[in-house]
Amino acid sequence: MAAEHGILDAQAAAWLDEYRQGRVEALGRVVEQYRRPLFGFILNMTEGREDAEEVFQETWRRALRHADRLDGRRLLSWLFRVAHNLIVDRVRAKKPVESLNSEPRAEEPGRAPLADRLPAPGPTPAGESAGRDLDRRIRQAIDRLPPEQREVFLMRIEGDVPFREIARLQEVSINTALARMQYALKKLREDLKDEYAAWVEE
Amino acid sequence: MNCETTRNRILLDQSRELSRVGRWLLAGHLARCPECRAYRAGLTGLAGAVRQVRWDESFDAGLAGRVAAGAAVPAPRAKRGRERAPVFLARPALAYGALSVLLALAFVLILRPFQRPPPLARTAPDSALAWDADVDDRLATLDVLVNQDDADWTETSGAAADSGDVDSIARQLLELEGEQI
Ligand SMILES: [Zn+2]
Repeated sequence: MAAEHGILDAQAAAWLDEYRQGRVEALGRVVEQYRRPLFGFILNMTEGREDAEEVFQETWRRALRHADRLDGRRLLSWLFRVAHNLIVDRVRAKKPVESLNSEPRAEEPGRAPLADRLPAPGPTPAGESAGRDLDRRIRQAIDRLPPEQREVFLMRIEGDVPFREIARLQEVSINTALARMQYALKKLREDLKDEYAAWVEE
Repeated sequence: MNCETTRNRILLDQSRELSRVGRWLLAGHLARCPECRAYRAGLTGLAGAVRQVRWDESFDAGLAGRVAAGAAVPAPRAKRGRERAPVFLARPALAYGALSVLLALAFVLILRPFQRPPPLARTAPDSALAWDADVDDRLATLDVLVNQDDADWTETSGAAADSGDVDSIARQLLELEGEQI
């Protein structure tokens, strides 16, 4: 799990160095490299695509303000932290009483399911349909998690953010961060029962 | 050992946050517990599948380009230094103030190594070595106890006593490392 992130981070670090030496096109490669995990995280934690795109752009804008000091090997995890802070600010601005650190709740008022917040996908070639079905079910299962569990799960799996840092960001103890991850995994195991059984067998 | 604690250790191991003793305890538990091995395999499978999800299907393809295009070329440090210079020149009091702070800082930074008694400078590595040796000794003891534990597994009373020893030494080691898990 960590090795996969390590390779991506080493590549991003090299591109970031090129950018610092004045080659702006190298930055495009870094943005592209982390587009999927970062946009996925933001999309899952915001109200919809437009919101997500705004936060995505602002995350990079803020990160690049400190381009001198950015550590390319830990860039993704750092981008997740910036995105977390922006999302918390937005939640607080919209709903002053609620926050990401509130107690787990089954429903997020006013937040439509992820599938309803995204445009309908185009026609799918037959060979890809099984993979797309798993994609859809994973998306739905993650979308059903309470926000604080969803955030811990995505920060860990997609952003490789350490638990100590997640705990600091969510202003909870490391044991609470671990418990949130365990609850998330339990629910995902239940929702993805068949796939889970196959992963265990492998 | 408790499976719940082990599963937290699996998570901390994957985030590279598990202590040395924690890793040792985890390996021991995994060797014996098929449920926790299955848990780890399931977690690895789930993480791999989640990392394949195409979250960005709805992503505006021009957005990444706009982020890059909107970013300024980072200015070389020297140039920015020159840009800031007139502010100091225009405010001599600020310049003198900054200079005195810098001199004070340089004084502290340069003289500190001479003020520190040499034996104290060596204390940290020595105690770290002693600490490592201590953990090594206890891990070796744990290895012996656990191997005995394996051999006596069917003898309930012996196994229980050994498990107690293993747990208490493991707890002491975790305390030494300043960890709870
Ligand atoms: Zn177990």
